[in-house]
Amino acid sequence: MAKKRIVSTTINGTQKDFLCEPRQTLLEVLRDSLDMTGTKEGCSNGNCGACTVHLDGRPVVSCLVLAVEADGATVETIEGVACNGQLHPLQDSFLNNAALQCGICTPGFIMQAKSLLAENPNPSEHDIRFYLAGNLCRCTGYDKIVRAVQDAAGKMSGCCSEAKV
Amino acid sequence: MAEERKFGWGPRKDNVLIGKSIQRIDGFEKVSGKAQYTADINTPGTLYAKLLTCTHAHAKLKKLDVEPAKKIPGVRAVYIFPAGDLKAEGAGEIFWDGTLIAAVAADRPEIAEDGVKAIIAEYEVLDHIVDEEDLKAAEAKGATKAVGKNAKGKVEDALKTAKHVHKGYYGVHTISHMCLEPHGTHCEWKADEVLDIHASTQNVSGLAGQFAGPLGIDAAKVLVTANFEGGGFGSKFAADEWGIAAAKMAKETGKPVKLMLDRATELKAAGTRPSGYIDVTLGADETGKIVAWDSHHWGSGGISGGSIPVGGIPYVFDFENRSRTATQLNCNVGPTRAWRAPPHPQLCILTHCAIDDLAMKMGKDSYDVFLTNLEQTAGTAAHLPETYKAEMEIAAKLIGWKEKWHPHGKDAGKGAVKRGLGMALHTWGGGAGGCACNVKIHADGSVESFVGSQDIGTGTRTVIAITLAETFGLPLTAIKVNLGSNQYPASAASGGSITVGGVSGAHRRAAQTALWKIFDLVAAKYKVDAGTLAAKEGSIVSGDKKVCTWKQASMLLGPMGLETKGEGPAEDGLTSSRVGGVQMADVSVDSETGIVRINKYVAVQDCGLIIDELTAKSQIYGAVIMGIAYALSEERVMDKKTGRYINADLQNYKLPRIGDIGEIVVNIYQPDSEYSRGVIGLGEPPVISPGAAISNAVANALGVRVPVVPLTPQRVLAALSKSKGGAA
Amino acid sequence: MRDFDYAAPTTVAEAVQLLQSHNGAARPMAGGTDLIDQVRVGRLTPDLVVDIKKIPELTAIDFSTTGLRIGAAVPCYRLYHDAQITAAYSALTDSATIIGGIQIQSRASVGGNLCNSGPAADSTPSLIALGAIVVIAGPKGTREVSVDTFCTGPGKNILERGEFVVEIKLPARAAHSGSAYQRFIPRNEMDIAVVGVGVSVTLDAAGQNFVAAKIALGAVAAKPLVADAAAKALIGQAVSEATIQKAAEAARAIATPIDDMRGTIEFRKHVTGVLTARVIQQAVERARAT
Repeated sequence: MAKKRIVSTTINGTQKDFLCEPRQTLLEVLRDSLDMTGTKEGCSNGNCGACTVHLDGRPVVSCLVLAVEADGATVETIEGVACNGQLHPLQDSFLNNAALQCGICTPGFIMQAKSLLAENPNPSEHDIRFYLAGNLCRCTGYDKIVRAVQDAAGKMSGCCSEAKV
Repeated sequence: MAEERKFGWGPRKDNVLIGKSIQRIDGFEKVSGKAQYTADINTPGTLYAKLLTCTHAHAKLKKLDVEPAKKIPGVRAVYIFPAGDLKAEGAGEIFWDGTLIAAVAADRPEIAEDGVKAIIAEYEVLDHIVDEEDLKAAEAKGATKAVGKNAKGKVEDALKTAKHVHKGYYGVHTISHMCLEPHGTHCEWKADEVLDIHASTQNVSGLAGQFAGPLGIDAAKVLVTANFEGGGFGSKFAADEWGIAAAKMAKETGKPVKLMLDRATELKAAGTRPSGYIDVTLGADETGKIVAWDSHHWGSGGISGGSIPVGGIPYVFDFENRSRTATQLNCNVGPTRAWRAPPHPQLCILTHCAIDDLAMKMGKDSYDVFLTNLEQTAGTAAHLPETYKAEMEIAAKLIGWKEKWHPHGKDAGKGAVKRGLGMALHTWGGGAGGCACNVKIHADGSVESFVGSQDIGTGTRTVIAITLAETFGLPLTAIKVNLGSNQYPASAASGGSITVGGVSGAHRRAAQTALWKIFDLVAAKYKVDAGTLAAKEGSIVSGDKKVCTWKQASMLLGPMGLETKGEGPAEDGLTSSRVGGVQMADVSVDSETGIVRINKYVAVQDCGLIIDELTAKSQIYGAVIMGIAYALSEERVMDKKTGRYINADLQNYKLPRIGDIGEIVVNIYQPDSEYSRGVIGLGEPPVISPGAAISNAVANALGVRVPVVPLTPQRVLAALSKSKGGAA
Repeated sequence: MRDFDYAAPTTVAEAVQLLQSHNGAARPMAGGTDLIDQVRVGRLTPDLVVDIKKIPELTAIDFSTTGLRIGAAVPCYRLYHDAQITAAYSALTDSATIIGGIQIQSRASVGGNLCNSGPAADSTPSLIALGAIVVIAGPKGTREVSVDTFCTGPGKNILERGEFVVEIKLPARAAHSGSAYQRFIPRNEMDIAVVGVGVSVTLDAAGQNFVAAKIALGAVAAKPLVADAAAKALIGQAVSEATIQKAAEAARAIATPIDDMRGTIEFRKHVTGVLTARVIQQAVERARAT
């Protein structure tokens, strides 16, 4: 068996070291070792986006990242999106627009939408649909998710968690 | 006063919360990642289980050696499913790809996977049949079974004398439920042989017995919890053999075991909606009234039944002269489970595409043909013709039917892209399900409720909170809703759109019962007539006069507070059943590539009294999008050669993505006459019409029917080619 | 996932050495978006995964008057975030924009897409159309090959044990040239190509005649196809619907797709023709806009 590695990361602003095997994905370590289960597993082959997290500021599907690759990296997960107990504008607008039902896809959609708005603060409807194409919803709230992201775009200024990485 | 105290909803105009658009109360947990689903339960020492399945469509298991798995460090238990148990009598024959053979529980998921890989399974591969559409081939192999035939009137005569006769073939392939949170359980044995289960289930109150029997324990020793769950759609009612496996491995190892299905197994083994195909001849008189229907439909629900029964065809409508026959194909495919409004979506496609083609043959506007025949829906429910008529008018306005309509295939546009309109109608019961609940008013005025129901994403918690807050004149934040545990009063499984009716009726009854007791106490204390009292804005009022605050009233209950019970359903007007719904699609079809795009999709739906318009609309949007999925891209693909389910992953199992759905317009039909019907379930009906409505729109665009749904580019081009005399 | 070891070298030499170890069971990994999935489903069985992203030149981009050099591990998003690259090498950024979704593009690289050598790879037809050269490092040093000959079959290519792609070089673009890539998929996004077409054209100064052209097809054969006959049908001809249709017909003629769940042979050949015409048209429009 391959030797376990010590990996040092910064997750949601906090320094975290963990031990993992090379074959463990970042998703598995987050959920099973660090007990951060907000990031969901949907397909384990990069097609549903439920496990989206930010790795060094870029959105990635954590089921297709080896945990060892996160050594020295910063990771942001859904657990770090609300700041000081206050919901991020995107989280608020997902609620206001009923952009969620069962909620399994929601963390991934919010992480992906957050990345979109950081890159493009005023996305068109087409931009939103293109940028979120990697996230699947089965229930399905697509229409309302688009509205929620549009809504949030107008309300983003002044949120502390928007400080750029 | 007692005779005036009847259960009922208040006047619509007085409602503060009911019927308004209100955020779901469990939203915070879901958007922040705090909501714990079954897959998220990681109690200390939890073992992870993985599955070995057979990937042959039909085979005889010759050898199963699990010893190599047991030798791997970290593997704690190996469980053999009945299909893999060679010691059992008659065992060893496998009938479909995805059949569970063994499970391995280990310290880490990847070790469990190593264990699964180490198991040696040898099979003798047998002949299979997986083509659910080819009736003749199945008959030749003796793999069919007649499941019913019935007739009324004089079908042959009516077809002979009909002014217009159309003969058509239609179909819809099998789909999987594909819950984003797969099926699974976390099982942990506690002191005194108590089994503590977290399950992703639609059936919290009904699960204990299903575990108790196979495990040989009392149902009273089984705790079931489901606080959050990632979709069910009709597939999560049972303990399932993988649930039993987890419980047994937990028992064997003395450690908690979590077994969630992997994505492929979820698609293959955890439920499908059966296919349906139909040969139909129907005839109409000169006015367009359909006078005769003669059909034979078939399809497969797996090796041992579950195909679409004979009843229900023709869908919603029934005609004076009607004959129908149904045949089941026993194919080597995974078994079916109830899929959202079973089997209405298939019935709707098999019926309403035929009606639309008859309209094409008559050269009539499809809208007019549906309208002309609405009277023939009265057999389903007397009020439906009127409801449909009103909804059709609304839907037509919203989509611009009159302005956009052109006869089938007569789009005046010159390019390769053709536009078309289509429609369909549906119905569903949605009566209230059985439900018992407790409502507790604490002496400090806080309110809590307990019910063994579940929130599968539909908004059960929110509906309960709104019902109680409205009844007590309190803000939503004053209500704490407890559900998702079988330790609370039993409530029916969430299937058949019966949950909202069930829980809202029972909670209203419990709340009104409590309120009347409070009114009596307030009347005695403050010397007012109890009959004049109402609960509003945190106070008890008599007419315009505030008598006391809710808190002051609650203190009169004494230190024990008050606990009342609500039950249902009851014939007291709080709930009702039977809805209609009309949907229309505006599509563009690229006749060079076969790509179909939705320009606009309109859904008009009645559902009686609406508790929360926001969650109600969410259900309709969601259902429509799920409908667009099976209309355009979603299907199980079985490889005829190997008999395997070859697209059991989310790359190849094609759900629409957020850019594939077009503009959706949802309209809830809710005149006062609907409000007075009481609460009716809504989750299923809007998912019924999209297949037929979209297929009809494509037929209108092209002037050619693409007979089988989903309307993939290849099927569209094949139908076009066939219409021009080419090969299909 | 199977058990494997992991190394992240910082030099090409170190990587070559690691890749020679483990009896051929060492695999290079750039973005990992194909590799990790393939290991998970058991299609690849490496004992050692060599992460090449820590080698500086593997993540470098160099755009100059002599052409474009892309390190083999440069993730897709960095290509389409670069306005110069998008303008000059549009076909490549068309591809980079549609390889998986945005999350995949944060990691997946054009080099990885090429080395995975799937017949339906979205960037390979673009690389062929743009005349790319593949720079390969290995135990015997460095060699350069035309991308046209790189893939040899489904999942197969010319790389030998210990070798890996370090860089892709694209020649400078001629004046009045334009390029495009489109694929045919049933949904709008995130599908494997049923047919993919990459086109590069150079027009005369007036934008009326084809001076040069290169066309490549993906997903319609065991490896990406160089559609020389289709390009020849354009070169020296006036830009017209008829000319483009001739080229489309030539492309259709060389397509040898298989019947699979993405479509029948007949369907995929038909779409090859339709799509080739549409992509040529788009490349012409871009050439005229320069």
